[in-house]
Amino acid sequence: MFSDRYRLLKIILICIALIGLLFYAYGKRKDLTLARCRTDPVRFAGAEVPLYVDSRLLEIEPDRILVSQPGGDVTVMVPAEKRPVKARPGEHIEAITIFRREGYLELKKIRTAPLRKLKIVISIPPLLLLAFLLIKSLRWEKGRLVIKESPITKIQSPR
Amino acid sequence: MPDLVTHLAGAYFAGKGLRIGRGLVIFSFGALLPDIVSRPLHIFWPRTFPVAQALHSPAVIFLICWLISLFFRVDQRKNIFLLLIGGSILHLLMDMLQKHIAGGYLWFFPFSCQGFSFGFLSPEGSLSFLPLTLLLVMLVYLFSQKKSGS
Repeated sequence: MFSDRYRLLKIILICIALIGLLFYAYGKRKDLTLARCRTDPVRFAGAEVPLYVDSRLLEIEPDRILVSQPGGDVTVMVPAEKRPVKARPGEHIEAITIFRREGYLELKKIRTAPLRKLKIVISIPPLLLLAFLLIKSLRWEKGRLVIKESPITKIQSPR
Repeated sequence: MPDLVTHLAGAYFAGKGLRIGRGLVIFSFGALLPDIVSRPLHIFWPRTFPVAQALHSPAVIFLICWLISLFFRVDQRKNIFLLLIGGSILHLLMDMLQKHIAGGYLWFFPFSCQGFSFGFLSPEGSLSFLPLTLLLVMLVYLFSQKKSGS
């Protein structure tokens, strides 16, 4: 598994396996969308249509919300027991909606993620720190990477 | 996912607990790896969500760790792989504590595309603990420095 024997072949096969798995994931995970449900409203009536966390609230009205999501903007009707939707326009949300035979989506569950952007921004400095530490800890030697003493552990090495 | 500061802090604590010496940087890299390979896709091209989710699954991460380790010198390769996969498993376990109502993590991909998570914390919940997390990192760092100095 880790020897130099057939190393190049192993690298090529792993890359092929990775590409294959990603294509498989793309083909297999075709989630329901409003557009797909509308092609056969009778068949998809009552089906759950997920709105993932990339979805953003554009408008909130008492009985409906307008959501921007990768496949295009969708209007989701809010049933009386789910009102009012406690969120503000511009916030990220994830939701489960139900497709109704009449051709619209109805809200079943919603979770707001108002701090999503902050989380992404806060996640940048650790990446830069890690990149710096990796550059300091690794060196290139005869066509291979080698790990040397890292700046963190150097401090803790026994004298 | 919790934010990457929390993931990095988790790797630091685990690395200290497991006495991972000079491999701490690689272990930390492993602890961020699932997000490094999947999140840019998801954030910049949201339509690739199914692919990004698969990139965050244990089977795909295993292959990526193996691939990375093959670029290292032969005598270090196995340790590099173990550090990377150890860090990645820590990452996936931390992520599994979160709740998602749409999605979740594909633990059994490619055998199953059903998402799963325990649902204890909201994905942004780790931000509330960030000051405490950073304080703990500082304390552990100072303590370990003092210990190695004495």
